[in-house]
Amino acid sequence: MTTAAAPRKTHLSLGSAPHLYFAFFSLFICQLFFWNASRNVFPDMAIVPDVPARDVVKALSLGDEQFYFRVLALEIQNAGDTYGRFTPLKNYDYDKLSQWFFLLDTLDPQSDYIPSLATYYFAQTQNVPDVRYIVDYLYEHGKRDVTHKWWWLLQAMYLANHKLEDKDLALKVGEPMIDAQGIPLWARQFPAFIYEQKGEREQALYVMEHVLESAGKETLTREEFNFMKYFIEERIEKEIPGLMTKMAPELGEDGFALDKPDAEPHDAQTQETPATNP
Amino acid sequence: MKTNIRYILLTALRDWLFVGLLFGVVAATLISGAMGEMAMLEADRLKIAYAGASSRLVLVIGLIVFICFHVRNAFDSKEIDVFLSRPISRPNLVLSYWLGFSVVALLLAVPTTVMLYYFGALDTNGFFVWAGSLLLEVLLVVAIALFSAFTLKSAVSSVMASLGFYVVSRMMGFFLATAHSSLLFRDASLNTASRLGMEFLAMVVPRLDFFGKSQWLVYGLAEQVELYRFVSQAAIFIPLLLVATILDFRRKQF
Repeated sequence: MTTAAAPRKTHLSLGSAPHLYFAFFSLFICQLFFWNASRNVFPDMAIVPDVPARDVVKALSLGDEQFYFRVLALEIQNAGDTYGRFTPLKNYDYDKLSQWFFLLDTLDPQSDYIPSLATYYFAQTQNVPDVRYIVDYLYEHGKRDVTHKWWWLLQAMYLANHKLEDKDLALKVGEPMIDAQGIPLWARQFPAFIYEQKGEREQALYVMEHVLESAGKETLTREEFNFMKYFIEERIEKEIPGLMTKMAPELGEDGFALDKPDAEPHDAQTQETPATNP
Repeated sequence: MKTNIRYILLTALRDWLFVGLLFGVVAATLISGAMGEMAMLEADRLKIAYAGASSRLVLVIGLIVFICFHVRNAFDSKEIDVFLSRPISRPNLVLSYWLGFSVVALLLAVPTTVMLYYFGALDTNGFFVWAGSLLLEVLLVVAIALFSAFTLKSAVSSVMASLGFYVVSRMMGFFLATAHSSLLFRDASLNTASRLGMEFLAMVVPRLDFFGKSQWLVYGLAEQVELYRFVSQAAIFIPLLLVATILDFRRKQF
């Protein structure tokens, strides 16, 4: 029986091929020099990666934008905390970060992943002025579809009001919610509280009146109605003392004002107190 | 024809294709699960999107490599000559190859979809659409790999050509959108030429970006037309590739 012979290694002595050994050791020494020269050269590990062009992202998604959105979203979540680093948020480039947020919104505008990341994580930066980038992003993200994204407008209002202490920005951000339908009434009322904090009682009254008028009576609970009624009456009373006791509407058994076809309570108030309804 | 299909199944078993690829799919799914745990929120969405896309890639790459090397090996070892010496026509031989590889592809794709369903399907309708598109995509990939393996003379070049064709097909939507934007060049005539060139390319390259969207796994099907698109594309392009393969094979001299 014959078997195929396996290739065998032959002994190569230093004397038989000195040029090969010389070449090997010379190159190895070169490699050592190269290692010594390059040992402190590290790849550029930016905290926030450079933002690719929108077209590039679309191309790299290979037709599966949802998958690529998840890949990039995870990358942004972990940006700055990779390769054994932990970076404080104040060192992040928020301009670049907000560009990432807007870019990722083009891949999946429905997801709450990026606004959550922006609100609950990146907004905690020690460098407070950077929060403005987050507010701007949340405003743009939320105003496109207020019915589903009102929560992020509310968060943007909170950040603008309490972190940036910029009430005008908070009002701008909250404005799309005033007229939105299908969102909680308390969210629509928020701009009124900001006006109140600014000392603009008439504007606060106007917003609350507008919310009350545009909210369907059948969707109002007694508590909500009573709160808004109290809010409106209190401000009118402060403007024109004694008016509300004269104009108090008659309440039905359910606690709502009775509809009177000949005399609408709101109309009566509006006509007699033009200064309260700009 | 049945003999050839059985032979392909035997070679797939012999080459540990089922074990290897299903192991790859399971590993990709488990890694996706681990990645999902890293997400701050929407972890279930991230897991299913990662698992779906990575499993699809494992299946596609595995099938392309297997088919290209199998067919080239059949040419080199004269197995094709033996097949042709029997009473089987060349078109039937090509069809039997496609059917055999399709059975292999389905035997890999069906367990993958079942596994992903239990892994965490979020939207049942969307999942079934995605699963259907995966099955059609692997059948289309089988036809692409078969075509390149029959027409090119090297297994490596067949694999590279198939993968290149797959990537270009997946990017076809992007190419068309870019060409139509008319923003590529400053010269209007160049923009028109690029658009026409891209339109011509789109005639001979399938739109694989219509297939296997992870968006369906997460949010479900947005429009019914998405379903019709990939079904129509598969129904047209698979037979087209098979006919092209047969035409080329008929011209070959042995």
